[in-house]
Amino acid sequence: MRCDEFEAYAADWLDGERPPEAVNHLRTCRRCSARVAELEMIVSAAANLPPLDPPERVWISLRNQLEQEGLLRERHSVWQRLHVLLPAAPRTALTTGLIAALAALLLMMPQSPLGRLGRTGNGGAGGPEFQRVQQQLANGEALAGQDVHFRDPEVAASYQQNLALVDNLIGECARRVNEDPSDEMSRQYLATAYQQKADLLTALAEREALGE
Amino acid sequence: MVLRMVGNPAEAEDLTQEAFLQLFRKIHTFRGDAAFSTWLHRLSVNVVLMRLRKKTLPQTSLDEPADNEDETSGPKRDVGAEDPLIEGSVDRVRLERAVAELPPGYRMVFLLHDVQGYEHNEIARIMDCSIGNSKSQLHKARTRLREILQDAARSEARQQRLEASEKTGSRE
Repeated sequence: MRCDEFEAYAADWLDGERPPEAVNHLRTCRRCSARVAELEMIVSAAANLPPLDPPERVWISLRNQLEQEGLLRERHSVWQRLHVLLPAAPRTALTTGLIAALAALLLMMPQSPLGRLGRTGNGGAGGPEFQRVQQQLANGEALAGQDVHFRDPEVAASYQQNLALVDNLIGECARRVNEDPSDEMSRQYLATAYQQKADLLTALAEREALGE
Repeated sequence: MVLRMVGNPAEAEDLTQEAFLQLFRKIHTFRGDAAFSTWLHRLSVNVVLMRLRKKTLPQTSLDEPADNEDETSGPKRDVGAEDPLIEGSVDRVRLERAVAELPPGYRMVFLLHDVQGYEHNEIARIMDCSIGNSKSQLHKARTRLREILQDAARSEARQQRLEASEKTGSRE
């Protein structure tokens, strides 16, 4: 067999098909055996390439889009959660404070959480609209820091991790909004990030109110 | 996988989101006659191909992926010519760079088979082509990768020789 004839077998060789004539050729041909070895090296390296996961913002943006299209619904919106919490007597200063903070937050966004905040014309991330939301969330977070005592360390770790994630996201979005206050997508991301933080704190208030 | 297909992180994020949006919009059309992962990959590949067609590569085809890409796949090599060996092992960074240089059709079949571990019959479904076509594209992709890696090895060797001679010259 000549080298150009072996070419017809080379593809199947890597898939494990090894007819005797091709085996014989490789025994005697250094160039073809080196070529096959290199192709095997490539196949092996490819199989070991690590998976590349998309960053968190892709999932957040996807969720946002799906909610806007009505393809995905929040398990409970902040409004629904407050509706559940308000009739019950708040058990701690935390729930009282959080309910006040979240209600104030919702009053700032009368149409939808993304409504006013997401629109341009409100300045950068340091503008009055964003500042008020940030202040209310900071109040809620401070109350959580003072009053919540997690019974389950895994829940505590998960809360801290989620808080760090959402804070990072807020930081990144705020930076983008400051760089270009007219960038509506960044503004919407920032509004969504604030909404997520409000959600996280509401979940905390729920746990506290239910004594979990 | 989408990032490896398009090579641009921002565009890959955009396309990943688009693929998952389509997944949600079309989930009711999944009939269960193929593996769910095959269906999802097919969706992703279609999203990527649509984007590539719109942008720069109107010749990219689902029916005959990349068969016409030989013309653009770099210098032709004489079968009888001596090939330089890829020195050492193929490391991740070199391989990723080389994959990014492949024409899109080759790249997709290579990523699906050698990176994601799909069989040719699954790739044929995902890419809407024949099993033979998938096999042929894969072999061409691997061969082209080897050429790209050889070129890179040659360039590195040349660079090292140049640096060594500069050092020697500066000592003298």
